[in-house]
Amino acid sequence: MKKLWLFLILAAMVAQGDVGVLAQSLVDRPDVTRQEAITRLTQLIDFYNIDLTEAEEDRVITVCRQIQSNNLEPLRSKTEDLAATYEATVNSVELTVGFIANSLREMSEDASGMDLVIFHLQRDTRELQESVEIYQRVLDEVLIIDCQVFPEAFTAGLTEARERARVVEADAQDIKNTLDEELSQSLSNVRSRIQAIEGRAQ
Amino acid sequence: MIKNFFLNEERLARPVISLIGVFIVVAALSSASFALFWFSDTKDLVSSIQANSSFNGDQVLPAESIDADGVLSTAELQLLEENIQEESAKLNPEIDFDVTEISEAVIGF
Repeated sequence: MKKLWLFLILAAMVAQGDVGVLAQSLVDRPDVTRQEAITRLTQLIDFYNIDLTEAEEDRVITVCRQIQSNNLEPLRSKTEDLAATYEATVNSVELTVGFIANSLREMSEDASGMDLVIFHLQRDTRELQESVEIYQRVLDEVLIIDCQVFPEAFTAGLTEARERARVVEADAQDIKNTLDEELSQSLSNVRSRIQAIEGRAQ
Repeated sequence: MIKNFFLNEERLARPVISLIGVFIVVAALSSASFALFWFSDTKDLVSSIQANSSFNGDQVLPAESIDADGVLSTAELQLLEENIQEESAKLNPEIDFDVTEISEAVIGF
């Protein structure tokens, strides 16, 4: 009986560990296999009408390995760092806006403007996270394939990565706009109201 | 006969899974989960979020000079706005997500 319990405990720990490690690897990097990457990038060849001439194909074969290691690999890790920076910044601002909203409520003042900003920031952040995830998956795909064997797939992947990067930039810009425009405007309204309260108190 | 009957009843009434056994499994799973969390990036993420905010009881205080008296003054709001502007200044989408590294120029067409 004791041996059975010991076995059950060890089995549970191993199972828990495997699931945890697998979950962590999925968070760290989407699980892209070489075959999946080739299949998806091959589909993109038609989508982007990639039809390389012999000279272009030779050019890709010559430079693609270098592009993978010198451009794409650093870009992949830079994107990961940037996504973390954006998330941390939005979290920090959310805490500050939340503090202002709580203070307004304690003063029996309307805090809906601040609540709306928080809602928009959360929505924008979610959208950025999603677009970054897709962008990173494309970068992973372009990185994982043997570009000298699949030059057209590599070119299609680069084109797709450019498109995805534009979406990411647009989503990041939405966050920036919410901070610089909507939040600034809401804070300006709050300032006017507080000034009015302070004026009445004097 | 009667004695045997009760003995059998008693034996059948004993739980198949002992309470202490269940406790050991739960404790082992909890320890394993905690160890995974401790060595994962999640802990670093949690730490970084905590580091970016001064958490004091129920209230989050973004700056030392802001008090949690429940009344927001214009001076306090000014400090909070500066804090937000500093944070926002860290974000430059156009530069951050520049695609020069993967532009057409890198493969020459």
